[in-house]
Amino acid sequence: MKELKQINTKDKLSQNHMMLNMGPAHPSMHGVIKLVLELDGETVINCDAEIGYLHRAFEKESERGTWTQVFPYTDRLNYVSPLINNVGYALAVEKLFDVEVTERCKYIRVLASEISRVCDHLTCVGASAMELGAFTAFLYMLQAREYFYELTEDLSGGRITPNYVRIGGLAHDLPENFKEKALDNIDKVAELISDVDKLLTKNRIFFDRMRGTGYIPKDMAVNMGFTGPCLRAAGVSYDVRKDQPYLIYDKLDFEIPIGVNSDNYDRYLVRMEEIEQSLNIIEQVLEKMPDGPINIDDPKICFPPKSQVYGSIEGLMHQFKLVYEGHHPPEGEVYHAVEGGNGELGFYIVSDGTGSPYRVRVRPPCFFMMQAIPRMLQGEMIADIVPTFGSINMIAGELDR
Amino acid sequence: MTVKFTIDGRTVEVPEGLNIILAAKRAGIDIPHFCYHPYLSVAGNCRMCIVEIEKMPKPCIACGHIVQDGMVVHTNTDMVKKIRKGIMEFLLINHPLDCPICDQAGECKLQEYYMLYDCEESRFNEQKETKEKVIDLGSMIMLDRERCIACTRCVRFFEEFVGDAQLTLRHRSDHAEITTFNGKPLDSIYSSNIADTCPVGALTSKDFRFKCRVWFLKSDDSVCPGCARGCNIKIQHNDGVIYRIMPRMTPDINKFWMCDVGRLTYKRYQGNERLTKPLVLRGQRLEVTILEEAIEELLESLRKLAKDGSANVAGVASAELTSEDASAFKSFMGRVGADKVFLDQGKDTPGFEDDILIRADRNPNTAGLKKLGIEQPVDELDALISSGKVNVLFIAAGYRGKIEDIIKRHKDKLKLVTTFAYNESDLLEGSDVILPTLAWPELKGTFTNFERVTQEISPALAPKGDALSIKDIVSQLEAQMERKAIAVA
Repeated sequence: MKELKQINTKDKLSQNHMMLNMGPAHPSMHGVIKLVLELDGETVINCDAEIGYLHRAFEKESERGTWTQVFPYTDRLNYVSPLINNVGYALAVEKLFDVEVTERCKYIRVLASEISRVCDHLTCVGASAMELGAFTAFLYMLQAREYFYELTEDLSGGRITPNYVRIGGLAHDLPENFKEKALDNIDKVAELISDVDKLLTKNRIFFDRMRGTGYIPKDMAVNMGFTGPCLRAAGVSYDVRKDQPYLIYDKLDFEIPIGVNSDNYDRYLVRMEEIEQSLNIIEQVLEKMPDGPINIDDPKICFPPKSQVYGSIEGLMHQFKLVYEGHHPPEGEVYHAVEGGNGELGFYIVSDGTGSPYRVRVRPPCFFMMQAIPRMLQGEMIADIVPTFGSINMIAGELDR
Repeated sequence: MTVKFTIDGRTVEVPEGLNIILAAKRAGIDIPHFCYHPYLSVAGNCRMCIVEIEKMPKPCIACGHIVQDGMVVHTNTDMVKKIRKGIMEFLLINHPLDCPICDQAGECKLQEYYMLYDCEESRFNEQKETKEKVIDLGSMIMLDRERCIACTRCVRFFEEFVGDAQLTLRHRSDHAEITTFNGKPLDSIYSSNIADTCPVGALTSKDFRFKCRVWFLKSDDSVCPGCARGCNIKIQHNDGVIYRIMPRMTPDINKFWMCDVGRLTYKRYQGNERLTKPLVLRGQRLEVTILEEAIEELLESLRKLAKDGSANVAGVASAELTSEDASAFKSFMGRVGADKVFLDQGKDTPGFEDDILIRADRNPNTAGLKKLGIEQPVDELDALISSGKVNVLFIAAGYRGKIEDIIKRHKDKLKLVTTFAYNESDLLEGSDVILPTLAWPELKGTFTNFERVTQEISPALAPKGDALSIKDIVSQLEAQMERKAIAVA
């Protein structure tokens, strides 16, 4: 168990310790974030994380437009797994309306979420590996990610800004031949994963850098609010998909990998295994996908088909009011969480009955890992900062919103 | 006297004599309606307000039944819901797909009721009836015959409120359309009200046409500055520009309406003539300066004139000022030794008058200024300046004041003219110091109308440039006079 020392990082008179600034722009730091390190030689005594460089006032901006206009903003939260954010927000608003989407829509949303999750983990592992010098692994992971970006682009028109989900359904249905292309790309990704596995998992250097570094005790992880792969690597079996199932996750057959040692290497293994599990989920979903409508049949929630909008006054007025005035969910507040790439991504939404949200609060999963960074780095070497920081998968878009 | 009736299961007590729509409103229930208007006679042609009344054999129109003691009304049964959908379907059969270009979008009853009570897909697969669109009816109104739902609110408005039936519904069934008699243009200063009362976009204001979408407009309550009636209005603006003025319902003064003259008064304050910086006459030219300097120079000139005892000061206040500004101005006049403050009712007074709304006195606050003791007409100033009894003037100017002509006539006789104004005018040629003031859309204050009713106005826009309210400028002037110990006998 790590002991924590109370040291004043602002104590400039301390002769023994050197203050070193890492960031906000740094080759080995993901996104924009500043770590002010207090060093005793090579050892990190303490570090102070300064966040907020990518704060774009997502929560305040959401209050400015209509309910549907929030979706492009959600794309830019965790920008490596944007479809999960779309789905999370849509599910929260649908909870306010107290409606459930159609079966086909549920399957497609799970498909979209898992594609995004794979992209997230591929990026995380690839970037972490690159920072340790394994450039080949990085390029392989990025190639694998490219295959999945192709799928996202076919699905929604955008690689990382899909804006695909709508309240009560989706923007549009799956494109033709999506299933064939997806299965094809899954095979390609699986092959690349297997190659990266061979390059990294039993790699002496990788192992030495990752094993035993970035340790956080299990109960501290729980107390600090960890969720997602970092919590599972600590040995706690908590996944929103299993513990508070939403959409059709309770009908799917998948496992949650749990780690033992709660260090960087276990987090790497958990993520690699999760990629495999997600690929499996995607295959199941494509297999079981039912036919049917993707939007629910409630005119107060879903937009009319374009043929109606251009063809009849009723459709035109309907579209007009929903676009310019917005939806009118009943007054109230809800919280709904989905499993994001980093953990429990929650949306706490307050409605005052008007066309604009009154409040949209996002629970950013990597925020809680970020607050534990000083504890994870204490007593470690400077070189350990890099894999530790990489393994918590801090995404500035989600952290700062 | 009150009656007790039950509506949707709740028993409510309401004053007697109300129809079901008004009584339901008091119970917090909205019954949709197109042709009914609280200040017009009941037509009962739209049938949208149909409700179920127990013991009545058929569903009844809520606008046409007065609430009786013990009446039981249902506004939300399946039958009522079905009827509303049916009415909407009929109204929308020939309605053109104009939402993207229709000014009414965003405040259109068809759109609102569609979302609240209809939401059905269209079953109409035929060709819609086409009629004439973009008809300039005259006065301030544009007519689009395709959008009309033949509710006859406009017909009844002219017949009952204006007392001059200028519009009628001609032809039958789906060819029915609104027209003026013999194709004569619409000729009334109350024409703009039918753009408000028309529940759809058939009658729209020419002045507001295509200027701004209504959901961008912010509203501020105020009182019309056009005449002494004091119609309650809303100033609707966005981003510092006023787009239109809408009347507010006030049963005792203007009910639901206002006149076209008042509706267009906002244009006075929007143009390029707005004064934003103090101006001082140096040599032959008016130079832009800052308020402190202008006050400096003004008080210097005043001190010099006061020293050799040749200052004969008088004040002129426009009847357009708020009572607060007028009161501050009057007390300042006392400080500078003005014997009298004259009332300027402007060149447009007296205008034509009728017994409907518009008054001959085209100023909003004559009564307010008279209450403060400012009542001598500014015409008397002519003789006083000619005879040399007045040679220093302080003018709190309004729009097109009579003082403009008086100044032009006596430019050489006046030694010091200070003008508080918001617009450039002929006064600029005759003034030595010009201080920019806030105008009506930026002011907070009160107006008193001809019936002695005092009403508040709220600002809608931010001050322009260095303009301040007369009250604020005067307090700065008085503070400086205090500091420099300037006293005018």
